[in-house]
Amino acid sequence: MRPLAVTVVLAAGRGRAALVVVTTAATAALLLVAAAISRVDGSDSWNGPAQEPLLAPIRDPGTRPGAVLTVVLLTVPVLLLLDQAVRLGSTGQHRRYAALSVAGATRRDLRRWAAVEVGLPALAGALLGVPGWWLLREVLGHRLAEHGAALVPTTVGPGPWTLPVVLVVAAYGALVGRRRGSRATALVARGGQRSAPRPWSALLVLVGVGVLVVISGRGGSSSPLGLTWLISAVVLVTLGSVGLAPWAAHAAGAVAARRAQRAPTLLAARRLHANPRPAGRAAAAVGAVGLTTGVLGVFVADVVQSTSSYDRDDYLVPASVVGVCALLAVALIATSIAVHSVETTGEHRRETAALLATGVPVSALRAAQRTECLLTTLPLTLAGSVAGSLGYGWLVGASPVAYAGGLAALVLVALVVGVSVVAATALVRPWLDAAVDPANLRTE
Amino acid sequence: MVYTCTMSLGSVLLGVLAAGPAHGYDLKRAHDGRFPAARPLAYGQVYATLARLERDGLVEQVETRQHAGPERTVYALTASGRDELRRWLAETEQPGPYAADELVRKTITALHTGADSVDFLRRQRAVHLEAMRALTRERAAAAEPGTRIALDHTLAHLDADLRWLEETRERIAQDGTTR
Amino acid sequence: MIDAPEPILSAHGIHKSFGRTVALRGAALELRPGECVAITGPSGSGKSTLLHCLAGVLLPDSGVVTFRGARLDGLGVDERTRLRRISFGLVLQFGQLVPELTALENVALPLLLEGRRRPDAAAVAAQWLERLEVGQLATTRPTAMSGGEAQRVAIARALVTSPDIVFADEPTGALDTVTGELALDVLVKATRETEAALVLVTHDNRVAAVADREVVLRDGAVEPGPGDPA
Ligand SMILES: Nc1ncnc2c1ncn2[C@@H]1O[C@H](COP(=O)(O)OP(=O)(O)OP(=O)(O)O)[C@@H](O)[C@H]1O
Ligand SMILES: [Mg+2]
Repeated sequence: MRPLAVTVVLAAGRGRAALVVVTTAATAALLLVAAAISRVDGSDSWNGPAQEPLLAPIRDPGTRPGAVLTVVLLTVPVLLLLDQAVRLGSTGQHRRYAALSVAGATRRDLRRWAAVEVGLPALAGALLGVPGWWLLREVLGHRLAEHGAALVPTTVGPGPWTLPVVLVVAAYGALVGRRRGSRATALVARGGQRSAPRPWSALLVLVGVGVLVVISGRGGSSSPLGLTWLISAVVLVTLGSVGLAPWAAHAAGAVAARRAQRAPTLLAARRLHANPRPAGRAAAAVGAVGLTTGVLGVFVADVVQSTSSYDRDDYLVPASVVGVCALLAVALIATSIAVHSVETTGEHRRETAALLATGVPVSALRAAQRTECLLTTLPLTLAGSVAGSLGYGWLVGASPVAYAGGLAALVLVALVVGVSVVAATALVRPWLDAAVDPANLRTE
Repeated sequence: MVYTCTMSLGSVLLGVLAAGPAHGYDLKRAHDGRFPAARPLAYGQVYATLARLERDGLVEQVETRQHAGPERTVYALTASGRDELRRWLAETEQPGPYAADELVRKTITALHTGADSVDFLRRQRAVHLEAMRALTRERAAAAEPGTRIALDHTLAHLDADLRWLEETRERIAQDGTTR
Repeated sequence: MIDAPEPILSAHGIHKSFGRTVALRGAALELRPGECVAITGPSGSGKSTLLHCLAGVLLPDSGVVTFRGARLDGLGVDERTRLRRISFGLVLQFGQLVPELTALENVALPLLLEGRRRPDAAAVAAQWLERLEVGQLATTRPTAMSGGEAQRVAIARALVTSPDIVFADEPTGALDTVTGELALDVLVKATRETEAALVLVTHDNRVAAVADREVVLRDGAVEPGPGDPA
């Protein structure tokens, strides 16, 4: 079993395995940190026995669940990247599985094989998450504790949560691999394409908005029942928006393709149109990040304007931590989209090489890739950011100066998206160069 | 196309008559139009075949026309002629065996006498391809589908010859290296 | 050949290796304007490699390819790319259309890259699709086309810039005889009408018979013609 498993993993490509290890390790480390935070002494920490020099929102039992949630949410962009990493080399996987199924492997064999392909590196990554957590505690715990603003608890660890976290992350990896495998085997069976996404999720948004309208008509969310309704409405709208994202990417791609005047824009828009699901998932995540940064912009400007300089750090340090995390998330998502783009390019190696042979410059292909990434990420980041600024500003009755903070956040996040896209596409450039090699013109 | 078996020309003429009664001259023109690659029919051949078909009760004379030119007898299919045509069309043809023709004889003789068969094969390829080129041009100019189909048949046979020539070259080359 | 005009493309002493495999050893070819040449030869004899060298897709290890008197290896990468786009057309056996683009967009792509406005480019592309009898496929994506249809669209894309030379590598190789013949007819007719030269790589004698002359490749070199000394 051992040597076979190793063979299986290596057949899927070293780059892919490495990315799976890195992303699962990051996920496990983050989850362990979240577990540790949740285990910080539950009593009021001002009077509690163990005085952890933690950052206020983490120390404060009232906001601690929010802090845990934030750390858990941070895994979302990492998982998106994992999802893309698993797609890397799926053409090769498809071909390998086709050959194996001809050789007599059943679909169940192939799915198990696929689960091993990803599950094994995922298990390795999940185990590496433990030293990862330790590293985070050293850097973001002990080091920052000297300034009284540790982000990772130093007195408690994840304790009994360690094993479940490792197992869950490894299992998730195996699950993702298995799903990928059944897609590949389904493709072997049908050779087919998936249908275009449909906007049914809009119904969820409509119901959510309806509930919001009704409760605001009833005089707000002051009662506990009202709060429940409010939260359900927000959940409905969020789920609906996430579900709507692939359809939105599909539609946006179609509109952009019709309007496109230049070849790279046309290529980018059509690729988005033809394969909107990964783009849609990334766009939903990036929209959430945009929302966060929008809120932060207004919040920070509001704090700077209205709070005495002594209290400021209590708000600004956590805000900047969240901000940095948000921007990191944007960069990760941009990378996942670039990986996706280069993967589809690799799938159509022959066509891409033919494009180059018929006189399409590589620069146009690179421009198309950048445009594809920007088209996927930028609109929803900006929309999310604007919605966050306006929504939060309206909620707290912010001043024009605070709104200016929101605007600054908008510009900043747009810049970060732009830089991330350029950097991410540069990162995947070797794969693009491999795809345009004239050797791909030869019939295999 | 050379009719080795006289019955075959008879069947073809029955096929032309299936479109309606015609006299000998019409039959010749229709035949030559259908088979441009074949040698044009001689009148004597047409009338001899018609006489035989009439003797066998497959065609009958229906009228004798006299226009400005010579007297012409118009022939038509009989019921048994129609049956015979149907039978002939339904029957499959014997596939080969093809007798070794001049090309095969020459190649094999060259091989045995140790002549430069590679050079011969190369020149033969050029001649064959030139013939195919001419037929391809002719086919491109042909408007009638029947004509194209008949040319296709000739082209396919030349193609088979050419492939055989290439394979022969490969085999000679391989024998040369393995020997 | 009454009075042979200057060759539009000429290649001499072309050598090309891939690792230890020698694909071409001294191949040569001259192409006159509007001429149709078939490159034939056994599998692995270097036909595709020669075609790629002639079309400036690959640069030979040694030897010279000149187009209208200019050496291809003397051109910069961008100039060569542009040459391939404007002066050359390329048709492959299959899998050359961008799967995400419609037929019309695939054909219009080279024009867009030349800076033509989208409506102009679309109009010209539509004309070419009509001319190759696939006008009804304008909004169809390649995945939904039959092999013969995709080949016609590819021919349209190769011809849309009115190139001087069209290079075709087994253009009918993935099609059945009749469909292939129709696609080939269309390719030959269209190149004749636009007075483009056509270089046709094939191992099918019936395809080779469409060309004005044949160049036989064997082990990476051109075999001497029947009149030439062996
Ligand atoms: N990119 C490449 N990498 C490695 N070897 C190559 C490459 N391209 C061509 N070759 C080798 O060079 C030789 C010539 O290949 P080429 O594709 O030109 O032949 P061909 O005549 O087109 O054959 P076919 O009729 O099978 O298409 C072959 O031995 C082939 O394996
Ligand atoms: Mg080839």
